[in-house]
Amino acid sequence: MTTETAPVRPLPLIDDETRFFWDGTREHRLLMQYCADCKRYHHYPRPVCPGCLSSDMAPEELSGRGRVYTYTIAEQAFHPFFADRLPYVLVVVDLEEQPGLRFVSELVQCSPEEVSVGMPVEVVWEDVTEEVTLPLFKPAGSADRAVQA
Amino acid sequence: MSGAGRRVAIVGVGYSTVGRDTGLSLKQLIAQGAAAAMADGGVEQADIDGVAMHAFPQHFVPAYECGALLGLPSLKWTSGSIEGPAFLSAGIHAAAAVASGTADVVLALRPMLRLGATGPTPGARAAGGRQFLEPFGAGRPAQWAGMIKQRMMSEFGWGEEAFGRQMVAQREFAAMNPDALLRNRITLDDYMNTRYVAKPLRLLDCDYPVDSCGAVIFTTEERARDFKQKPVFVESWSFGTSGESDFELAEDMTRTSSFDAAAAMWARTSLTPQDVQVAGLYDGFSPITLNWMEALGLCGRGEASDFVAEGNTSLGGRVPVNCDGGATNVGRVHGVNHVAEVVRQLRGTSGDRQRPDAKVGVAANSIAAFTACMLMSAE
Repeated sequence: MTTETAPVRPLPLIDDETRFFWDGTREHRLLMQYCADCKRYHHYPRPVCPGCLSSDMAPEELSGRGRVYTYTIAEQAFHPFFADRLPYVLVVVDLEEQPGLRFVSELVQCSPEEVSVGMPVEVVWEDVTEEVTLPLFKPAGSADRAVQA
Repeated sequence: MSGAGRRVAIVGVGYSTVGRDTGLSLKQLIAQGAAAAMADGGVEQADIDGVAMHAFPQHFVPAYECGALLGLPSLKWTSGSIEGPAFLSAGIHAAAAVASGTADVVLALRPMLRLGATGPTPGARAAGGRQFLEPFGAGRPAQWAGMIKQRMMSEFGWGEEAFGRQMVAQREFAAMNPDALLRNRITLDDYMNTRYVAKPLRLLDCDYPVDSCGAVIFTTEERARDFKQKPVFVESWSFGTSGESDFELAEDMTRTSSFDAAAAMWARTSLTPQDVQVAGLYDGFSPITLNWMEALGLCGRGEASDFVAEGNTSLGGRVPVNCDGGATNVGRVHGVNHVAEVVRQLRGTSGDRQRPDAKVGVAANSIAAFTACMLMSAE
């Protein structure tokens, strides 16, 4: 690592199992595996459905809407990229398609004082590189503001 | 007793030098920890015929290699684990080996070197499930612990005092424990004034990283009579696991696999939660300690805050919890301390920290993805 370059956000090591997800986010679509037999979504991507052990799971698009199940305000950075961004809000989002279907992300366009459990949120896209777009979340219904990369 | 098999007893507990910068290698720590437990129990090398060890992958020394290191040339049974709920991974394997008759005297070890506030390597890509955490600045243990603490507070209407009171009570015990590293008494105000790591998780909600190796020796009821300490019997145990292997994705953060482990443990004994007089409940992060109070049935769900506030878990309380001070104060012996202090309490040798007439105690480790608990008794 050279000293003159700014720290870069950790990026995903995309593999065959997760490629559909990151292909989707690049098109600003939130995709998760859906088992046609069990009628259930699963996240993270996995080789078999834990309900019926079928490997026949196809990616389905989600609305990107949900509610905050819980959150934490990061006050300490464990990676140099996040040092200048403190404090930031990490949320576990309960996605509306299925009880207990969760996604861990950063809540943006919301001060740490404003976040609360149960708060409605919706996805907002952050294009990080040509390859990687991250699904972040913002308070539902708020006017979309440009996300700083 | 936990299912069919021989009755199991704990006859020795001990630690290596425990500290921030001991300068000791893993093997030196293992040798010290083993020697301390053997000296405590009056157990000789020739007595030991099994070794179980649990360590993080970067600290792993195979159990057979620990045997060779310690001059135990002909073990009947070994077990090395890099997964699961801290020391109780090794402790339950050891107890099960004795109960089954696979080995008669098993040394269980939990060595580690001090871990700092580590994070992902700059420039490295996040692989596997980590790719759904690290790009967002998530995935550190203190962060999921902060998420769990927040969920407990929101769901149950607790303030941070719920956790602070337990940490104050544990420091009070630590002040009475010459082996504790943090011994200055603290107040609730002190707790509320320490910095946040992942709000609402504060620095004083976290255990104290150290170099350490804790060790516990398990044997049969019959052999236990040969050794010098009053035996502490292992009545029951269980692991618990979850449908999600990441702590951040726990389906119900206030009712995790700890509840399943506890239910399975209670199903295999005639003892009940009301019999418990002393407890060693994992305090890698304080929300885990309060979660175990509820999981084990020491109090009802959502009632841990009141249970602590009423003084039940403090010195002089009905079920004192973490009477050595806990890993937040004695250092991260990673679950061994939770067993060792319950053993000392049931022997009646905890001095000023002693819970009078303690005959039944419980130790429990971890939360959510993997958990374990062990019920102990004395005559």
